[in-house]
Amino acid sequence: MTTYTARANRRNNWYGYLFISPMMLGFLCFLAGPIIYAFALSFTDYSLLHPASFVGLDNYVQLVGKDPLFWKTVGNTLYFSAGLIPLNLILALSLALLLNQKLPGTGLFRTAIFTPVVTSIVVWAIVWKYVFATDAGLLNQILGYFGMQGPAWLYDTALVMPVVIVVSVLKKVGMNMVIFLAALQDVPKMYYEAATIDGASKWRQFQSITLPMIAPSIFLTLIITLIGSLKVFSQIIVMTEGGPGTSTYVLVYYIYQLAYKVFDIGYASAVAFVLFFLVLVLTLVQWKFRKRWVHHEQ
Amino acid sequence: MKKWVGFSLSLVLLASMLAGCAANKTSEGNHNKKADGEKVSLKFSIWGNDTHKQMYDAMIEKYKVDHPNIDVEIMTIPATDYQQKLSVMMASKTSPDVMWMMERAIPQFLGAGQLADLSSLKSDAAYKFDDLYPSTLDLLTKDGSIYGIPFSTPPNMIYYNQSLFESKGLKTPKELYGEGKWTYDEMVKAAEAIAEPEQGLFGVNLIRPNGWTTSWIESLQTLVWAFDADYFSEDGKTFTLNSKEGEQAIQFFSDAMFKSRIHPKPGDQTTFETGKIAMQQELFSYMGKAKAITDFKWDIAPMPSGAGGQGVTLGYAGYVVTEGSPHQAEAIELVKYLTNQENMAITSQFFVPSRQSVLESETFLNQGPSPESVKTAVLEQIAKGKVRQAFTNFQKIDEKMKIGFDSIYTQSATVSEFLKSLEKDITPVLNP
Repeated sequence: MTTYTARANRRNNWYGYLFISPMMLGFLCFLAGPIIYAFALSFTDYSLLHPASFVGLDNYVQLVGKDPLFWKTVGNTLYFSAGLIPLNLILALSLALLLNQKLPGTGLFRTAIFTPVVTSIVVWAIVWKYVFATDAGLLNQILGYFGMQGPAWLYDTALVMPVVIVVSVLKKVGMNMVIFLAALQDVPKMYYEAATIDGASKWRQFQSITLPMIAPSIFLTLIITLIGSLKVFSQIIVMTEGGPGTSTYVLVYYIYQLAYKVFDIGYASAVAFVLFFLVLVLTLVQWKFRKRWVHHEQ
Repeated sequence: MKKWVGFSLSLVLLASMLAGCAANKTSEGNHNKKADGEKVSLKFSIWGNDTHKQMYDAMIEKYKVDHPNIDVEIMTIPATDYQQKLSVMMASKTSPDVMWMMERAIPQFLGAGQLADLSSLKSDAAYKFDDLYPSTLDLLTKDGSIYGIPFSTPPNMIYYNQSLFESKGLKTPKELYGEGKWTYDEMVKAAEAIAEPEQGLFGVNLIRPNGWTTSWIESLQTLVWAFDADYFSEDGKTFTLNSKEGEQAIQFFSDAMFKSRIHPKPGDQTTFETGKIAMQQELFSYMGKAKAITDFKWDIAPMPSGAGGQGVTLGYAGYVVTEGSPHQAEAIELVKYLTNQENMAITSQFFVPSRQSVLESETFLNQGPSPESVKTAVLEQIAKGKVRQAFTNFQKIDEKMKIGFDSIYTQSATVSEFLKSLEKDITPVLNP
């Protein structure tokens, strides 16, 4: 009996492997392979114009101790994430709560808010670059109409990161909103009915029913948004090219800059691995704390 | 039963995957066969726009009449990514066979031995190699051999909105130049008389469209030279802008943006075509767009002069062939065709030709707003113009300079602070 099940299991496993093989082959060839190769490259001094030479841990030593721009870049990336995540999640949840009601036109609003998600990020960033252009930009022209002189949005070291954050939130908020909407519609109505009978206020209901019930979705969106925010690149290269100065240098832009502008591929790989570990550590930390605040999970 | 379904489904999946791979292989095989035979497909990369591409397409159509086996595919790569993209393609052995090449990229590729020797063109009597200006060949010559043919050596100039000057009753840059009074002081005076920054109307714009990030090399070299300063020493090892003259040049530019506000501020995208810019620094290649302007009168004039003269910069672009390309001979033939007298006359609608016979022809004089404008603003300036300094590690220098100049654009440093910190940052890059 047991041998039979084991054999059947093995055969079933076989089918499984067969089914996932296209995906796995792609993953191994185009993702795992390059990642391992990049890891090896991070211990070399390699520019496209010359062959690679092994330098041991030099790249990592340089990066930690002798490259102020690297730390500036890490700081900028964290600034971007810290600005983007709360804004994105709160806005997405508020929109989801608003559009979860049966009001005329909700379908239209849902579509409108989701449309940017399926728009090309490059197109999106170019349009906003023109909106935030210094004098002839749409925003500053509108401000000028009211007699105000708008600032040089993308040429002000203090303003440029908030501008990029807002543009990124507007692009991505629709995705999280849809996830929240789905979660909200899954919350059984009877809990609210019971709470209403007990005389709980709307706010109390939101705190004690809605939030705990959609906690898994909040957790999911948090991780996705966090990882996405650490990988920010397209809007930076289109809107600011890391500037003005180095005020929007973020990790992926810095990696691109090192690898494809100055051809310091070995060093760029080392920075890429720091990013890899940063994402890994942050995700693990969140995963660990998940038990504390995600109570309701199927 | 279910298992059978599962099994057969997986078989189908596997079979279709294999079939997919097989299909790929056969089509690739066919392709190779074609290339080995008589059909040759050349790749030609440019950083130009669609009108340039159309011009080349027409030329290549004609070429195919005599060379039916040649196919040319034109790739357009944006100028800002050009050098970088080609470097990557060179490293992965997928670079185009024929390429446009800009002056600042030439040392890198020539130094790495990635450009093919085109000296064979010298010996072809019908090609008339002697017709090419020898001075334009310097950058592409190494140890007496020629590694490319220049096709565009445009001096920079001022496009001005004549209607705006007339409405204020001002003398135009061309008139002032004729009187020998066309200086930076006069330019500022005219710009101040015209500019209304609150209305988005500016007196002068030295930055070329979309050129804020590359401004230091693309747009401000002339200003720096005109103030008798320079970015680097002759040997390229020392940063020399940190001088009295250099400070004056940068201060002049900063004041124009932030003090007198005659110049658009950083990040502004206003173009000359909108009629909101009285004087725009541009190249000859802008002529195509300028000619489409219908709502105001415009003309061209040379750059104004300062303590160091006019500081005219020559743009520079040439055709080069990839060393080791499997179709090197055909690629060289194509370059020869593109740069013969007849075709250089065609390209002269956008590019200032390097052939004397074309440059001095009626056709070229008629490419501008008027023959005498082209004469003063283009022909007379070429002799005075200098090509920008080139570096093998230009990309690294460019990065540091960009970051440095941003402190002027964001007003986060005074000019002298900016020069000091830039000197500190750039010196190690100049002496690797």
